[in-house]
Amino acid sequence: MDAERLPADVRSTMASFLTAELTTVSAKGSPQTWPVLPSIEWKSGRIVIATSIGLPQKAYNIRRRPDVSLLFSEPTGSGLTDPLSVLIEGSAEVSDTLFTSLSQIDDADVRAALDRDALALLRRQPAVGIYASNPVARALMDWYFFRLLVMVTPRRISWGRGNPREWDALDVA
Amino acid sequence: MRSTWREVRREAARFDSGVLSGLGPAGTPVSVRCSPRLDSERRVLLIDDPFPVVPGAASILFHRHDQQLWSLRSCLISGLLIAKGEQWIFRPRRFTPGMGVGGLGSYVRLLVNGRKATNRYLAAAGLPRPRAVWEDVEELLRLAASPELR
Repeated sequence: MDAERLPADVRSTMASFLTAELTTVSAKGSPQTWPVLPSIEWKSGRIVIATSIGLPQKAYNIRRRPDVSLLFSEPTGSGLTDPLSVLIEGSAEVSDTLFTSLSQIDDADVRAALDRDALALLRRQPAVGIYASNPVARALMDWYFFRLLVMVTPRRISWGRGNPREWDALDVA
Repeated sequence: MRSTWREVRREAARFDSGVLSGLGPAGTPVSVRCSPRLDSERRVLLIDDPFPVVPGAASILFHRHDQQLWSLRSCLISGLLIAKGEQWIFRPRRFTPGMGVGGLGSYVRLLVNGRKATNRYLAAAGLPRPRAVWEDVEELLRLAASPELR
């Protein structure tokens, strides 16, 4: 995806929202949506999600059926005053390998995107350090840092306010 | 169903809007933020917002966070979406609590379920338990606290 094709307010929504709602499809064909922390890798236009294997259902769903959607519709904390909603429809891949540190990610652009957003998150939430603060917390929460990479490749991006049938859209596949 | 509806009613009342997800005509997932209304008599949620999906399996996510991404609260309601004229009727079938639902118990649930799911994942993949790289976490925390980077 060439991010330059997107209007500036669409890009700022994707870059500024703290969360997005990722929908995968379960084995029984039911859409399952949970909030995630998306990182935009602007060079390739992919959206990167680092998901813990302690919360693996979305990874299982994607491996079975890669169709996903990602909705940016919760603006709290974005700093935007009149934000759009943005819906990304596309396909996702999940890494086979686990990573336990961002330094283990080979793709420099993906690593940079995750590094940028991890720092931004920790500036908001320095208390996250409690997970690493003592041996007991480390033993209980180590699984939280065992991560898989979910890479979302957009096929279609639509955006607007109000009625989604009247939103603008761009096919980007 | 009685218990599911009780939880749906309690959580839906806490939110002005939720994320309705269904499958579009091509069978791929689509989501939209909507404002569902409770119909306690019929034990369904009514949705007036237009939504480009086909009737069938659907879900509604309620979630929120504060400016600092704390105070998380979320739940997922899975069910069936039925078209009736210009309106959608959502019939809940399953309630899945997420963060913050159940108070302190939700964090215990996250901890216990997270560890169990991790063990199952590693066993199924035939992987040894990795070691979290705490030195890198500490370095990120140090960088985040560094005033020159703010």
